[in-house]
Amino acid sequence: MKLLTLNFLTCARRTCKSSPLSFPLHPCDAELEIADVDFSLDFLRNILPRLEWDAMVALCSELSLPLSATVPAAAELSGAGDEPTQSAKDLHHLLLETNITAGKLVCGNCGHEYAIKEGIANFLLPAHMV
Amino acid sequence: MPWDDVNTAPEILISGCTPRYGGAGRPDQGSGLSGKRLGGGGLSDETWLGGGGLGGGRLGDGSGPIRPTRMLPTPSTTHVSFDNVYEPAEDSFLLLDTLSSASETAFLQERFAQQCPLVVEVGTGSGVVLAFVAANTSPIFGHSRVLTLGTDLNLFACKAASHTVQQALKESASQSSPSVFLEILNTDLTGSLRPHSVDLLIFNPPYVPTETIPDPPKHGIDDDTKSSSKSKNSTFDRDSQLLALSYAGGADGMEVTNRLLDQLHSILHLQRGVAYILLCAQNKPLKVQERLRNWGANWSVEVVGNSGKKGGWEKLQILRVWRT
Ligand SMILES: C[S@@+](CC[C@H](N)C(=O)[O-])C[C@H]1O[C@@H](n2cnc3c(N)ncnc32)[C@H](O)[C@@H]1O
Ligand SMILES: [Zn+2]
Repeated sequence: MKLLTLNFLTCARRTCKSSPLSFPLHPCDAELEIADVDFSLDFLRNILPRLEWDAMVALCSELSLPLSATVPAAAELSGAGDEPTQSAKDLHHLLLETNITAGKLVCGNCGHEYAIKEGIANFLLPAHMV
Repeated sequence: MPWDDVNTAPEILISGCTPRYGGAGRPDQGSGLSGKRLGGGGLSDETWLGGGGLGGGRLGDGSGPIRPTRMLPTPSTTHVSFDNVYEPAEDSFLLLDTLSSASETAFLQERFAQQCPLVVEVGTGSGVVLAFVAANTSPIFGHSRVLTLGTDLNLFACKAASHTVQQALKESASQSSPSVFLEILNTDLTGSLRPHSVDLLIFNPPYVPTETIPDPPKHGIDDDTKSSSKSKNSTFDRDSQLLALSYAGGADGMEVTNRLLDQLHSILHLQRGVAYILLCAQNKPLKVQERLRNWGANWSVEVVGNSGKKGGWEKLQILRVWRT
């Protein structure tokens, strides 16, 4: 699972949706793997406004990965001649190339643990928990 | 099990929401469900295609609607085992053709010109539809700043779809820069997605009217994926159950679709949200449309694709439901 995916995920239990504690989910015992993804400055620029930056910062610190506390301005992503800056490359690497291949995602509201196995997250709930 | 009831066969035929049974290239026809059902109903392939026009239409064999040949490539699903994953059929192809039609690409290009839309397909099955979108974002959206994500209850489908999308992205030469595929989540409908996060939702639901809907699989909950330790029979039962999940829609074939429709308010993006939902004739599509029109002035509904008329009625149609 790409770290970027966590920007769109919350607890699957209906009762948790309205709680701010259910986002972001907290990675636990996460095994990380890097997989190459083609770099696109256009994509990075446009994904920035969609990111819940504080949540991504919190997530990254839980995974001991570096992410600056403030959102980079669009101008910080490219230099002369539209060359991507190092911070653009780092952001790309973090959001798109860093994957959780195994571990758990834990809800901060109800404590439920969702397993990730072979890169696929299992959000199925036992009937009594839906 | 519904399969054992000969009387359910005609229903399944009409709706088209079952794997196609072309027979060609399927070495194990006899051991799978298809053999069982065809045997039970005494239907030859000919009857099958004649009755429902299943999968025949797009090939221009005269039995289906006249639809232009698809200009964009159909993603390959040859790696998928259709013993427990829904095989792409006429419904899947209708979605491909609708999403890449002139009217829909114009609509999507205007709506998402300046955006980085999140496209979510619910119930990906083999992944053929999501892979098609992911590999063709330039012709469909006019750019490739697009995120794709899928969900399915069936873990085998999740794995298959993930493979299908990644492969299609690799093979898509039409893209200057490829779109970003996030993942396939093993979840119920839009289960674990954040409210109002989805820009474009696609759903080809289990839409065949049935008495019951099978219980969701308990992947991981009781570790039923370790099929190697189980008998052949229980693997067969599990696969039957998973296939049933792909077509069994309960009352009017609408039970799962209704649950998804109810989620649209909370899952679709508050300004840009749009959904493409496939219905079949037995879903009482006019009633469904009427219900959606009652959602009020902030929503619009339109039929944007159909499989052509057969015996006076449209077998399959695709609704576009969007916030206005
Ligand atoms: C008719 S098949 C469509 C498959 C594929 N999208 C296609 O068009 O070929 C329906 C799919 O929905 C999945 N499904 C059924 N109920 C579901 C649910 N409640 N949540 C998620 N997926 C579901 C089934 O496992 C199956 O893969
Ligand atoms: Zn929770």
